Amino acid sequence: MHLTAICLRNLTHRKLRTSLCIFGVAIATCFIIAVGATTSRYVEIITEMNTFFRGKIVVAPRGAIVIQGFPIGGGPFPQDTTIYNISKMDGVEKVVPMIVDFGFELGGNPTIMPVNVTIGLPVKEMSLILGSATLKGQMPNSTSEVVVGCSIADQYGISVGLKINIKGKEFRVCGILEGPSALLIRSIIMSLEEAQDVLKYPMMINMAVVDSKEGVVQDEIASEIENKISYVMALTDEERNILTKPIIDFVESWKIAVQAILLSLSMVLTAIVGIMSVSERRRDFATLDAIGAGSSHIFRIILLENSLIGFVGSMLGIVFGVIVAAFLASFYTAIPIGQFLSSIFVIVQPFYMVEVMVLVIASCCAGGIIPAINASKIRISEILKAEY
Amino acid sequence: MKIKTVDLTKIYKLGLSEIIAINRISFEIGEKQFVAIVGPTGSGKTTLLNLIGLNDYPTSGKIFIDNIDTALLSTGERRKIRLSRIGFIFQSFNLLPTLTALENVELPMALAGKPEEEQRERAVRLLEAVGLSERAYHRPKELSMGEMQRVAIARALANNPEVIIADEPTGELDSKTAKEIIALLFDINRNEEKTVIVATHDEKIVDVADAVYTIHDGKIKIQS
Repeated sequence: MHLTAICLRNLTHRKLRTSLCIFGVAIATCFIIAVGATTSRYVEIITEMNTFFRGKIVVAPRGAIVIQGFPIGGGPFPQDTTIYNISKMDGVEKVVPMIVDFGFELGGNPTIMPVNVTIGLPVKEMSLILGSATLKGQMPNSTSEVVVGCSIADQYGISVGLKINIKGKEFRVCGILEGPSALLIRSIIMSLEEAQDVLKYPMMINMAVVDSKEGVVQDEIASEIENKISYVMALTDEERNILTKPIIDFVESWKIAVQAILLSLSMVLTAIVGIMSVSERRRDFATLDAIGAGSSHIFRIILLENSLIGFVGSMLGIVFGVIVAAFLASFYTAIPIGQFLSSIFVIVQPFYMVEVMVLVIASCCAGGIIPAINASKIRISEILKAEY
Repeated sequence: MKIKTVDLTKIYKLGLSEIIAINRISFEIGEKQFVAIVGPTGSGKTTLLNLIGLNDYPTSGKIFIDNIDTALLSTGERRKIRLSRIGFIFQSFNLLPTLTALENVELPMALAGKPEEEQRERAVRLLEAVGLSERAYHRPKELSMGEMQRVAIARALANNPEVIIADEPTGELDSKTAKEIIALLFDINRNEEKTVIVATHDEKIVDVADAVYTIHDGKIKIQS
C-alpha cells in the first residue's frame, strides 16, 4: 500500500468538496492562462516589431505613437520632399519610404490588436520586411503583386497565384508569409504606390527607414533630420527601445500582478479546504500518530492531496484557459476563433502551460502547509480525552 | 519488552483547575505477560495506557522500556517504538474509514517502509488469522463491530510488535463477540508470545490475565 492510495481515497471520499476545490483552482488557472496568453501576445508583437529595422533610423510623423519601429497615428507626410531632404543629408546611405496601416480591415469592428496590417514599400525594397520571413512563393516583382500573411490567407482561403480584390483593385498573390512574425502573418504587403492608392494617401507616407553610412553616428543623423524637417521625428534603435520599454513593463507587471493574485487565491482556497478536511479527520490523523506515523508522513499525505488537486485543477484550467485565450484573441482581432483553436500552441506557448501548471501545483502545496502543521500536532491522547 | 513506571504522574489543566489523572503510579510489566488494568470510567486507565504506549508525556515520573528512560528518547525514537514495538487496539477501533480492511492492516507496514508485496502477504495472513479473509476488501462501514475490532487487532500485529496495548477492546461489543476478541488476545499472548496490556471493565479478561492492576482516582489500589 502506498501513501498515494490514502490521498486518493481521501479525495474521492469527499467528492463534492474535492470537485469544488478542483473547480476553483481550475478557474484561477484558466484566468492565469487567458491573461498570460493575451499579454504575452501583446509583448511578443511589440518586441518583434523592432527586429525589422535593427541598426536603422525610423522616421515617423510627430505626434505618432511609435511602438518599436512602427508608427500608430500621427498622420501621413509628403513623400517626395521628405525623402529628398533626408537623402541629401551627410552620412545617409539610403532612405526607404513606407506606409503602414494598422486600421485596414477586410471587415469587422475596430479592434485593439492588429487585425489586417497593410504595409506598402517600394517593390525593390521588399527584402527590408520580407528578408527574414519564411515565404511560400516569391517576393513581389511588380506593383500588381502582393504578399499575404498566412493567418489572413487561412481565414479567407487565399493561396499563391490567386487573384484577390482589395478596395476595388485586383492583385495577384505571389507569396504567403508563413512566419515567424505574429505581425506579418496578419499583414498584406504591397508596393508603395498601390498602398498609397488603396489607403487614399497619394504621394504620402507615414514612415521612412534610413540607412546610415558606415562609421557615421546614428544619433547625429537623427538629430539633423529632426532639426531640418519639423513634422517628423527620427528614432534610433535605443530611442525606440526606450519608448517601448514602459509599455512592455506595464503589460508584464499586469501579468505578474494577476498571476500573483490568482495563485494566492488558489493557495487560500486549498488551505481553507485543507483546514476543514483536517478538522474532520482529526481522529484519523491521531490514529496515524498513535500507530507510528511521523510528521513527515502526515505532511506527505496532505501535500500530496493538495498537489493532486493542483494537478487536476491546473490541467482543467489550462484547457479552459486556452479556449478563453482563443476567444479573447478572436474578440480583440475579429479573427474567427477556429483559426486560433487550430494553432493553440501559438496562442499559449507549451512552456507557459508547464510553467503555470508548476506554479499552481506549488501554490496548492503551499496551501497545504498550515493544514499539515495542524494535522501533525493532533495527538491520540487529546482525541481520546475528548471522547471519554 | 519490559515496561516499568516510577512515580508516574499525569496532570491535566482545565482552565484554572488541575485534574490528576495518574498519581505517582509505580509498577512493572514483564515480558510475555497478559496484564489487565481495571477501574471505573475516568479512573485514568486510558491515560496510563497512553503514557506507557508513548502516546503522551507524563507530568512527572519515569517510564522505562527495557531499562531505557523514555524521557531521554527523541520524538523520532518514540515514534519508531510505537511503529515497530507496540501495537495499539482502541475501543472505537480507529480504523481509517476510506481504506479497506486489508489496507488498514497494511498501513503500519507502509509507514515502516516495508515492500508492498511483503505488506500484502502479511496483511492477508493476519486477516486470515483473525478470521476475516473473506472481508479483506470491505471498508470499515461495511463491517460489524466485531469485525472492525478484529481488523484493529490484525493492524496492531502488522509490524510484529512485542507489546499489544488494548484500550477497552470489548467495550463496544456484544458479549459473544467480546468473548471471541478476548480469546483472540489470549491466543496472541500465549501463542505469539507477546505482552498484552488491556484496560477493561470486562470480568472475563480479568479471569484470564496473569496480573491485574486496579486503578482508582489515578492510583493503583490493588494488585493481584
